[in-house]
Amino acid sequence: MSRTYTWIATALSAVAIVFSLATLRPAGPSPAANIPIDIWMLITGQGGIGGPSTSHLYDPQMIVVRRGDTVRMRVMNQSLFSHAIEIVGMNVRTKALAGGDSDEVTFTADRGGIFEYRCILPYDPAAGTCSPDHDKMIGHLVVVDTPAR
Amino acid sequence: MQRIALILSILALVISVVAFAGRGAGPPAATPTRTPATLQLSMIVATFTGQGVAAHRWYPTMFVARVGDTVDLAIGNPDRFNHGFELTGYNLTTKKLTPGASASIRFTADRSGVFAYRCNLPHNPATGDCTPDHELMRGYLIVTE
Repeated sequence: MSRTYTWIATALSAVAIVFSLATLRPAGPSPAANIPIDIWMLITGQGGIGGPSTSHLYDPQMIVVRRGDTVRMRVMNQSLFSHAIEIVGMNVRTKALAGGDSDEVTFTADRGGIFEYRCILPYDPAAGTCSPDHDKMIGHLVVVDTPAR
Repeated sequence: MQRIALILSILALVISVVAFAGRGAGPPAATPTRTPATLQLSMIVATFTGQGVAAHRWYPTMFVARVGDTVDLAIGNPDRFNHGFELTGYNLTTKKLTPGASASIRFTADRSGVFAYRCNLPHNPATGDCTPDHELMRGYLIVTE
């Protein structure tokens, strides 16, 4: 009789374990899609029609990712002067890029928050680095801290 | 002793079955209640030139929606070449967009994640399809929870 009880208890426990493990799996509506983000970042200029560039900017001016996403950023400088890009607080920066040059950086957005990206070459007409609007060459990386990740 | 083991295992079974049946019932605690938004966006082929290079891209290059939001895209091609818009992951495409043509796409962002949009016409100078920087005509939709 005691043998029978042991077998029944074992069988019931096994079923209980299966149900418990099934409970551990999340029952969310759908899994999140995780693909690498491959951005082509342009350093470009804008000016009046037919005139020279009077303002220089990064395009896109805003990058939004979720915390944990990996970003590959190919940076190309279309302007006449040398520029570079640094994402402050993310430890990301390119080499100095002369007009027409490109560089590539890859990083994982491991912290939530808003991070500024800007040119790290000070304006120097003699050296041909950056432009008078150096302080306005600013964009933002927004890292969304989603609860599910 | 065996009787106690039996009683305990029956108890464990009942608790797990109840937990299993109850999973997913009720909203997760972290999801705030909110009204879904409708994002009406103009999505165009933009051309940036400089240093002898014409860079084409979908503009805006990046936009964000939350799960449940409706996205209404007015897609236009002011470029001199043909392009086509494809939002991978949501399996949405437009017809071939000749210069000056436009199309619209409307969908509900029902899945969270990162979704790339791109040009789905390979570069073909003979037919006027896309441009040499075809692979870089890429943007991203981020859908947050």
